[in-house]
Amino acid sequence: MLPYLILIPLAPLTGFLLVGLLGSMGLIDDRWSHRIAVSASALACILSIGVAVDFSGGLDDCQTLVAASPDAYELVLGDENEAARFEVTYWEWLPLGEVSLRGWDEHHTRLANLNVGWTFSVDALTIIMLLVVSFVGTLIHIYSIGYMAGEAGYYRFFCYLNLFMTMMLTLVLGGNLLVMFVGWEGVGLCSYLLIGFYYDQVFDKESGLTCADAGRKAFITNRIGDFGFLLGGLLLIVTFGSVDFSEIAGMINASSAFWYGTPLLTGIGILLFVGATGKSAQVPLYVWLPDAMAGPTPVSALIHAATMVTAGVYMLARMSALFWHAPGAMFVVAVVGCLTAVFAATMGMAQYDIKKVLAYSTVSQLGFMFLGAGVGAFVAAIFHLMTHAFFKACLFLGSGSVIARAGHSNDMRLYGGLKKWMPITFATYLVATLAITGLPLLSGFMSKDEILARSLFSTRGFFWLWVFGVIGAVMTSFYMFRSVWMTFLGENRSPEKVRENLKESPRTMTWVLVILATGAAFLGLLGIPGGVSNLVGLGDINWLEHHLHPVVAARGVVAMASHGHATEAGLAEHGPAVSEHGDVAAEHGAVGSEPGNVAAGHEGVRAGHQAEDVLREGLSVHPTMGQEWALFFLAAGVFALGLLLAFWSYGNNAARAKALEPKLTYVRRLLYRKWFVDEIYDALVLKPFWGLSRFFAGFDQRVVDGAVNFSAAATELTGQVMKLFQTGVVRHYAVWLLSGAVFLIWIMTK
Amino acid sequence: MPGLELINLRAMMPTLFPAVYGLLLLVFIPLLKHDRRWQWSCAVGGMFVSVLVPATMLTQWTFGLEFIETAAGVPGMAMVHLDQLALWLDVIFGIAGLLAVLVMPAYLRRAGAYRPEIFPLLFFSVAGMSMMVSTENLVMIFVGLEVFSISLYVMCGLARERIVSVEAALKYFLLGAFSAGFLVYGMALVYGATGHLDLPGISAAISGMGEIYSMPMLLTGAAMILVTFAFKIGAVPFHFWVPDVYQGAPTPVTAFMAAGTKAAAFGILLRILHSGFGSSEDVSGRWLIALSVLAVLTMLIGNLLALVQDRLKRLLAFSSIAHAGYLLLALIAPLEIGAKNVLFYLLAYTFMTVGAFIVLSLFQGEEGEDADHISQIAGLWKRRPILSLAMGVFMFSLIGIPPMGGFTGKYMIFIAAIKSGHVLLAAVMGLAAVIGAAYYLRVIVAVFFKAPEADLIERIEVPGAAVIALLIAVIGTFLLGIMPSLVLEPLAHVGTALLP
Repeated sequence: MLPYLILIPLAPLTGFLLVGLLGSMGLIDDRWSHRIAVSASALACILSIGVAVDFSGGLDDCQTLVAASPDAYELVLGDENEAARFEVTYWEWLPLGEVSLRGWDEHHTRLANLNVGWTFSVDALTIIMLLVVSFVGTLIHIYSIGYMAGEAGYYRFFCYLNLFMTMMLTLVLGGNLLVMFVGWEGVGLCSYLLIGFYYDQVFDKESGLTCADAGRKAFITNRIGDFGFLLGGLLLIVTFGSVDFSEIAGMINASSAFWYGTPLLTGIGILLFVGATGKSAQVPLYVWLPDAMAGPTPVSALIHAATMVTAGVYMLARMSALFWHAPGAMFVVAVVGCLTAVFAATMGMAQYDIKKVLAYSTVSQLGFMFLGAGVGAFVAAIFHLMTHAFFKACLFLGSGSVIARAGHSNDMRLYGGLKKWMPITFATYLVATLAITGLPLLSGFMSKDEILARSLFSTRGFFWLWVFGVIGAVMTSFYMFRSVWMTFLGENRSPEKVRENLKESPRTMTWVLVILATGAAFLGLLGIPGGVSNLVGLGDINWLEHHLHPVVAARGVVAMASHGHATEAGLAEHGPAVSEHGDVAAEHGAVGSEPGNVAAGHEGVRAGHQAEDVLREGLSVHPTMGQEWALFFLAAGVFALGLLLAFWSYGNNAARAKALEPKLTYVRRLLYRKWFVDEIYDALVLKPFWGLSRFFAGFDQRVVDGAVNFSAAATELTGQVMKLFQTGVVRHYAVWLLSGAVFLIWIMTK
Repeated sequence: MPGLELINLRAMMPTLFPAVYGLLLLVFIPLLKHDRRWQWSCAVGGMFVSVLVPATMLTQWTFGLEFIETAAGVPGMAMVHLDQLALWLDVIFGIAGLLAVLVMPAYLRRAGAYRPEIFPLLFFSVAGMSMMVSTENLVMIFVGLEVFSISLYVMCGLARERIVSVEAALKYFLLGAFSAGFLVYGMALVYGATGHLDLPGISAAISGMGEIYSMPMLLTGAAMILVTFAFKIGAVPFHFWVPDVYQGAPTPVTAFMAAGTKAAAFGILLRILHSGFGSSEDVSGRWLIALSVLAVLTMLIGNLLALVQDRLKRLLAFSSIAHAGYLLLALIAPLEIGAKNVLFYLLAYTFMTVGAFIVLSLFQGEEGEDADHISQIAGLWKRRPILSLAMGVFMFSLIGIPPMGGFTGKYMIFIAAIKSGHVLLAAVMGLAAVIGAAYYLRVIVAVFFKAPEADLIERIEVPGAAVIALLIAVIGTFLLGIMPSLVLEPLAHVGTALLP
């Protein structure tokens, strides 16, 4: 299967072309539209599974293939220095040739061969992403059959969905930055198209904005992020003379000591992360995601929960070698992630629109993923990405099931007691809620609490990250159970007309919900954190960690630390110099054990020793058994606390909920209006921006346009004048020819 | 037969096949007189083989670094010289011919000018072009030039009921004959100065000359040879015939002419200048200056004049002049980095320009006359979306927007110009391309955003053959943009083989 990687994005691309062309010509009806689209997506899924099976079966079979055409293939079987990887370069895409690079200093100006190929690469990380994207994507395709039935532009919807799959799979498979960038921009385009699917409908009654406006907001916000991403990418190219992920990682790991903590890498890391904040909706660029809910619900589930928005996390994991060497950038990632996790959760607590609740929840959960990535727990971040894809897709699709039946209203105040009519939707929604809120042993518990534990114990984490993470987790539990209560339990508050028509959604939809809920419940078993399994004496059974760790391991840094230790230990004996020498090993030892221990030389040696051990173990300190238990119960407590709070305010007593309202007016208003962030952005960014724009518009209209119009007019005038020479008379032409000949002869012989 | 062993038939295959096939067609067409479908099928099949022959030869020989076969063993007397450059050009002629022949009968029938003789003529012109580029002998170059030119004169005037068609043929013929005179004169002078008619001989003689008295004679001769080909490619100020002839000739003929003639003339310029006049810095420095001047004039004036055209055939004619300017720039770069750009651009240009002309050929008025006013294609998007998309692809490619082949071609020329130190020329090219974008976008705006004005577009028919031709052109345009290495890699060594 491996050599045919290209078929994976090609299958949905074919679907896109077929559905788009035939649909626009009116040659296929709705049934064929979804048949083609679903089978294209399913084919991609089957191919992905084939690739995964091949890959896990060992790459030995590929060796003959690689030997036959070494130009096209690259095979790494995987050892201590490099993770197993299989790369195919299908064709030379941008033959830029030799490029002269001005290096990080003038002594390093050199030539680099920048022939960019259309390269697809498969490693353990790719496999996980491929499976998640294609599997969840296919399920959502199937779900859309029922959800979108009878909508105008049915074929258009499926054709966009297929295009999205193409782009997302390209993003995931891309073996170099540029191929990834194609996918990165492509999914942005699809996101825009699909948010604005109901382009003429108003989605926000207060502001009167249409869905098309929401799409535009998403697109523009993403452009800001992409600008950073682009700058980071260009800086990367200029620095390393390569766009290939593995090459760049190799270069960094090969000279860790040189690269570690350089402002250049930190800058690249932060710029790339700016791109991630746009795509993955982090502070401060998260504002588009809640509005993206204007799109049809399957789109929200697929693009704005399960796949596209996680591209930023994936990109960070892909670039893990770079981030390991840029602690500053990782610090920024962790802090922004943590901030987003808490901030978005606060806003999620006060929304009445069920999709908005889920949207803020998504932003918040993405924040957790970045928190994980920022403290070096890349595996945990990807793990959370994976589990989140399932439970959040399930929640969104469940909300879609409700919305479709409840008269296309998103307002939870008009729901209530739906359990009676929609038992399957309720059950699956509940399972997914228990998963996201972290009922012990469900998937969300495993992944989220792994991230939280790492943020406390990793050498790159620190106490306050953890504290805020826990607060965010409590709020998650609260707003999710709030939505369960408001939607499914209690008294029904729907209008009479809606109530009469309430019933369960069709099979295509409920089956998908059941599958996703099953995944949401049990997927956590793939990555049972060592801490948890130790508690019950199972030892280390974290499959995901074993699978993914080679890809995101901090090779260079660890090697450097253990290598540098010996010399630094010698230095350390000379006293306090060590504490200030800024050596990485000692620094890490310090952060990893107890800050402030490096004060004296003697202790510096100890820290150095410790650092070596710490780094060998993957930049993480293992908590003791007692701490493990504490964390376990704390996590369970967090879950229960949120549950109780929600129960107390919404559960048993409608009257209390009513009574509570006025007391909390100000807080609620603040949260409901999303901390007035949109307004603040409006005042601080947009208003001045518009003002500036108006100023420039005036300048543009008078001066620039004048100049442009003048030059255009002058150009056209020149053309008109020259046209006069085009007399149509052969004699004149012959004269011109002759004079031209004389002119040429004069030039040549003069 | 004495001397037959001296003739290497293999080396002549790409030329011989269309020539013989054309002759056969000429003989058999009277037999097929009442069956146009057969006549046409024979022509299409033959043209397809004309692409296939050089293409298969190329695939056999790209494994080696270079391939050269000559038709006679005697040094200096080889009349045929087949190398990769010639084969690539043959492929381009074949593709242009194939695309043109696919839409030819439908167009001519509607114009009321269907004459089956057009098919043999097309084959003769392909044979002539092929003959011209696969030789190192000046006499053969002249013979080839005349063979294809005369065929083209006739083809231009084929719609003899139309005054414009006759006018085009006559203008092309008069000016063509005039310019061909320069070639003969130039050849005579070069022969007088060097004593050689074959390019390697000339090159050797020049490098042996040093700074001797016969330089002015040689240079005048070279300049005169340059005049002829500058005329053929439509370089300013030899371009005046282009719009008139392109406008008057039947559109499929125009399409073939635009791509084929340009490819032939640029191919042979590449060969003459580098293999013949490239051995001495002194000489090559002079023609470099001459070409630079021509390039600047051609790029700017071609684009400026295209800007003020309302008839699309004229617009495309001036656009073809502008593109000749870009190609001149590609000629100026050193052979190692320039030759492949010339061929790549010619190939891309063939797909996009022939494609655009094919779209235009579908627009015909009541009487079968060309309906190519910009207002007549307005609103095409509303009626014929797929056709509009194809037109859009060609226009975007002509502007030079990725991922179309036109972009890659322009980019490579641009980079090569900068790398070889012609920064100013590259800047002019950039400026010219910006002007160029304006009029291509005008077409796009008319096609996609204007409301339909004429009821003409309600009636246009797209025959199946035109669909195939357009499909080939669109796929070619995209393929060259997305996978340029497909062509660039085999082209990598074409240039070095030309070094004297």
